[in-house]
Amino acid sequence: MHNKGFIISTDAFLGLSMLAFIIVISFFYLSTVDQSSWNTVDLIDLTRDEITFLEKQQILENAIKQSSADLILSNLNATPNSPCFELSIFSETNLSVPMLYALKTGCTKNYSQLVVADRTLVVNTDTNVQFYIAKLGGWYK
Amino acid sequence: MGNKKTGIPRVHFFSAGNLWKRLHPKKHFFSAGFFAWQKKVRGQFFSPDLIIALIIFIVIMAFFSVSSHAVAVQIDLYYTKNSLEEISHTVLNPLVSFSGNPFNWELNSFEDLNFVGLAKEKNILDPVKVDKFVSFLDNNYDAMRLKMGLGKYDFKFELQDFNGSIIKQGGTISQDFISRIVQKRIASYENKQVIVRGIISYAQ
Repeated sequence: MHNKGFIISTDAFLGLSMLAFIIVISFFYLSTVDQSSWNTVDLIDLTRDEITFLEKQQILENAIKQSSADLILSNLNATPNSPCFELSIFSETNLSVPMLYALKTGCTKNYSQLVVADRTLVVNTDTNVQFYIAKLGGWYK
Repeated sequence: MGNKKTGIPRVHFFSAGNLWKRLHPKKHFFSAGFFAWQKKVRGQFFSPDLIIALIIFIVIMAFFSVSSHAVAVQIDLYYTKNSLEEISHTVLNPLVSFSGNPFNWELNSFEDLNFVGLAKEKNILDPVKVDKFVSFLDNNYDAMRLKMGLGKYDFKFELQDFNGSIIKQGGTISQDFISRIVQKRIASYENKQVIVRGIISYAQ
């Protein structure tokens, strides 16, 4: 009986195979590592920044008084390119249908991750005081 | 099998040649050529299977070395990027959120500055602080970098309007950088919406 190829024994073959497998697996896992967690942090920061800006510059208040979302839209359009924003303002009497709505130009509501920041507004009119809720949704294109 | 006089057993290296000889004692596998000398020497160190095994071992070690180097490079790049992201958030967030320490640092000398912030209130930039910050970046760049906790990284500050035009800028980007992060924040500057850009770069 002739046993040829005995130099590469079964255990050596298994050892080499395992080594190659470990190296390939390590490359695979390294290739899947990304920085997406930072993208989420960036999106949260940008969404909060934008609604803070709209609130502090009284753009939300003026839009409610004028019943127009044009000023809000022009500011949403001036944000960086990659994030999309939509703003909805609800009256305290109707929280299901927004009284004002603006979606950044060039954006569609197609997202895998949505970040929402909201503010409660008190708007004085000549006759009374009204409460409103402004919700700003942000996502990446 | 041992030495009859000393009683010490004879040690044979296990090799393909020896095994062949044990299985086929009358056949001369290494009768000529490079391995012909093996016939005369018992327990020799060099044998074909040992050489083959060494070659395989060296190839495997070379492959493992190259692979481990590539893995190390990947990990290093990931670490650098992660570090840049962390630094950029740590640096830019206080700029747009706080007024700094002391709160009127823009009126004092550079030495009196403990902690830089550009905001009058959250997301509302103070133009005087912005001008002073840009001035410090231009005139005391390295010292400013240290005060901001940037360490080995370079920093460039930009203020852009909605058109993308730069209103203010200061600092620098590393020449031949190997990694760079651009961090953007939204703020108000002179009652207009602006984009605050912090560019953190790293060169070896």
